[in-house]
Amino acid sequence: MARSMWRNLQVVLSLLCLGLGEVKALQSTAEQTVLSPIEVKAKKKGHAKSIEISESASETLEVGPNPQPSLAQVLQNSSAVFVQESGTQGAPHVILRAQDPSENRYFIEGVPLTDAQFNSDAIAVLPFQSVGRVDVYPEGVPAGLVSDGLGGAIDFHLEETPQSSIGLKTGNFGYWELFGKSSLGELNKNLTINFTRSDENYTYYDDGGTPFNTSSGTFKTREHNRFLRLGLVPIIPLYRTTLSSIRYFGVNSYRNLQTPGAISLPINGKLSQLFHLSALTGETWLNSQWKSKSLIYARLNSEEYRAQNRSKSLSTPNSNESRDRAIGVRHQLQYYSYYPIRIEQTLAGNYETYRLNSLEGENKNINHERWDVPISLAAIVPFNQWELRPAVIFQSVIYQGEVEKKYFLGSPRIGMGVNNIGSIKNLTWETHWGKFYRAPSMQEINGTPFGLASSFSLVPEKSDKVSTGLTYQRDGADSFVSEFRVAYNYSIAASKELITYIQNSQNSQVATNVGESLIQSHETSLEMKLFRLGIFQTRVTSLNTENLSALPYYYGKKIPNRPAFRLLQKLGYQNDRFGVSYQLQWVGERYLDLANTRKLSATTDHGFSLNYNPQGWGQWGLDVLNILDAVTAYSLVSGFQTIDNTTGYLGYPAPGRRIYLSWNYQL
Amino acid sequence: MVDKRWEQVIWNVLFSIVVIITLLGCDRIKIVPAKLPPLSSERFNHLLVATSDYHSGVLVGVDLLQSELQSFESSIYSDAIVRSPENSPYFYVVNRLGADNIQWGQRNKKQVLGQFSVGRGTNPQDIAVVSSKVAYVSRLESKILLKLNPTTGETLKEIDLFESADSKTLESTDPDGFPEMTWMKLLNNQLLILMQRLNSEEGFKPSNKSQLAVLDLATDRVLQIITLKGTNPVTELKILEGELSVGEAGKLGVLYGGVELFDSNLKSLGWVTDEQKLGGDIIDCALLSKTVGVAIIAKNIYGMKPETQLVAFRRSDGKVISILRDPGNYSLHQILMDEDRSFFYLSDRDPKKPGIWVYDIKTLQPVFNTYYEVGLPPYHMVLAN
Repeated sequence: MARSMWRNLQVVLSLLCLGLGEVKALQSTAEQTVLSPIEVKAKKKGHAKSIEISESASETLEVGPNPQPSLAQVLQNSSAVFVQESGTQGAPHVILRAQDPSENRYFIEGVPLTDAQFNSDAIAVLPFQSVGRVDVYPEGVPAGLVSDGLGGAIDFHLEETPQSSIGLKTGNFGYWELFGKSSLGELNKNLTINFTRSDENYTYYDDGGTPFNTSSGTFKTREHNRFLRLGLVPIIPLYRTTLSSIRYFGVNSYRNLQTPGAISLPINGKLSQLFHLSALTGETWLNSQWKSKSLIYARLNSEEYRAQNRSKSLSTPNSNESRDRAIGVRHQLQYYSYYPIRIEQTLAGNYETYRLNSLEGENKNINHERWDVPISLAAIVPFNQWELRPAVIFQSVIYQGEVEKKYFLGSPRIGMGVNNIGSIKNLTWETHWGKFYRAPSMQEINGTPFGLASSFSLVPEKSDKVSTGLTYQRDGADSFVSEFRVAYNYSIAASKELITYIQNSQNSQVATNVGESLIQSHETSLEMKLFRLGIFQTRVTSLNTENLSALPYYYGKKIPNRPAFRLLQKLGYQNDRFGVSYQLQWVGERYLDLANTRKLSATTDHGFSLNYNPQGWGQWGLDVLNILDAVTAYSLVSGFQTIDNTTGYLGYPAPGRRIYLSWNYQL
Repeated sequence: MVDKRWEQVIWNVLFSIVVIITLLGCDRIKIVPAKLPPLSSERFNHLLVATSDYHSGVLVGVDLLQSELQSFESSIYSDAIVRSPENSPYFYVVNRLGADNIQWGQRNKKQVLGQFSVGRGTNPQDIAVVSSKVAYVSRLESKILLKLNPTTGETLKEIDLFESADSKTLESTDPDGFPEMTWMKLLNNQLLILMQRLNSEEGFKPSNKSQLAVLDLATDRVLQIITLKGTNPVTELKILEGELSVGEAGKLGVLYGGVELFDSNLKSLGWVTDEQKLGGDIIDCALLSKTVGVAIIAKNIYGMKPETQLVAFRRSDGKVISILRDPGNYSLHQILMDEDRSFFYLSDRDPKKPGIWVYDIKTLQPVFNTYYEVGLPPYHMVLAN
């Protein structure tokens, strides 16, 4: 087994060397021909098409330097994304085309971020000031990123020509954020430093765990919510010509956060996380039509959990530290000829080790290993007014250690896009079908010290997904409506063997293949810009979910945390020096548990933003989130109406009204 | 002749279709239609079941005469046990760590009528109701036994077992300072309280001894402290024909425990059987007669595939007679005796088919076609009138 894996790795390494070696070989010819790669031609503004090959419709979101936006503000510009910030500790909840946020996959320059226990937290390690562009793939992970996953994908791209700047953001809840970007005296070389801290303690209503007789409840202060992060992102171009480039980038993050546990439990602890990623990317044009791209990376994620009242983990016996290390290589060969076909072939290899340790010296001494060897082929076949985008991924996954198993998985997909339907200019129709899979993560199989028990018998989860949508987009620069976009999308996903986290004790969950589900969603959006200054954006998503679980007490129920509807309304004005906007999110009622005994009523979340550029004094911003200070909502529990904390529930407002003042200055 | 043959074929086909549809439809039946023998009992005609998937909790009643499910108008906590005193119209739900409160309600009305806290973070374990105005509550993370009014929640007395013990047998050197009071049993004018004496600072490992405290209900003083033969008593105190038994699991994963028997004077008679003979860690047990007992045992508790089994053992030598149920997973949870009907109930938390099996004490076989699906997996059940 190990020998065959080594052979596979050798193949991948050889290809990688070929990719990087070609750069050297082409140095002498670098000046001969200046090509116009397709990437450069791609539109890159509010809703430009992705510049990567993707079998499904995607969007590229630019991160403007002024004013420095938050991750949530940038993602909110995608018509397929709903974002809800829940405090400052972790990443915001990102809902891509109504899919489960824990199924989203995150990448940075194509490198998979750590496959953490709760996936959304993976992006909390990334200082967002270093990001220049975000590619959003709502239908699924594109074949070119050769990664498994049932949900959508988000690929962050670092700024290519960053400007030196410094910034400060402060607010209530003890929030402080300091950042600095420096070009290190050389174009394209860059270092971003970010320091963030907050103290999320807040007051909430505690009904004692049961809704009946709420008069016995009291208002309590929620403690143990401190958060600190230090991030460092260096970008170093090592070699660059018009035809070739080699670049190093790294993400270093140290996070220290208190973990208050479930809302009503007195148990709490502290999580320290050390994350390091080093990556080397290289690309070169082999001739006018063939391009070779290579990537090699090493990733370390170390998490140490210490409970305040109990020294050991509550989920994995004799462990309170986990360490995850991964190395990976990827090689892409792209054929750039728009007619008759554009092809991208990707081969990758990833090796990951995962180990649970005891800080008290009782080590289990078992190294869990996972090998991934995915290969993909994607193509774009253009016709007159439409194009076909077939793709396929095959992936071999091998687990070694306490659990030994292997899977060979396949994922065929096909996308189709039609422009100018019925000779209506700018009306496009996108449709996509795919069979997706996700092999269980090492954390799901072996457990984490942080609340997830081991589950050795997990198998990959699978989903058949279809989506179809119409978009009409018009750019009338000189008219009253300078930009206009209306879109409708329908999607349906039937999933099997869904990996669901089931509560198996008061303080721990276990990942189990019990789920089958059917989710249908309708998304409608209307966006306008008036005289290029006024902003009007409305988005509505309605959801119909059905849990087809093998568990009889969940069968036929609604899937928790999926509201029947979501509405986003944004109004604003932005000119060169001044901008103001108001945003409303109205989230429909939803069930909070799989058994559908707890139902939370609809909530609204109002936000307000102001930015001002006094020219020469930097850029100033004021954000007020959760203006009405929504902390609780009415809920219905087995027929009794009570109030429930909205905090901690997916997509509900961050606790308390939040006021942030920010300033950043271009050096 | 031909017509008759065809007619027979058609009838056979129709019959087969009906059988197939019936079999296919069986998966959707929520409660097995067969009824228990209509044996009315003056004492108990209902089961009250606290069900939970560890995320949501629901209280369910089973009418044993009608084989009907009864829903109660309130949810309960996801970690809860239920009590239904024999001569009382009320039931009580002990919502444990995280909720730390008691709910009470009326069985006939199928409603929860009140709730009161027993102290934040104290992790209540059991309630022993002496009368409608007096009850005792044991709490895992407190050394105080709470005497209170079970309707209003008003504290009547805080009983420190360390101080009220007359003898020095009750050591106050428990590593974490709590005696881990769990299950209780009213016996004549006394209250028996199991004290697990675990070390919560080291993953709830058993300490050197576990004990049984005997409290005088008239004076609220500890009369006697009995050191158990084993450690970590995990089962309820069960009484059959004057004999008291309790299952002691010791350290989980290590087969040191057993089922300890006491005579009517609470004198220990030693192990009836032990974990070595049973072949696994004790989860629950019950003595069915003078000759036979049953136990739920857990195997491979820290292994790749932990599982539970229901085994019957001989009281004379403690050896296993037979394996009565082997679901192949870690799902069997509780044994509840119904002496009036000569049955015992077995709760099965199998995620794919959670419910309650009914066994005949005499034959040790499941009662034909009787299985109660109670919605969420059953966590704790009691008999109620």
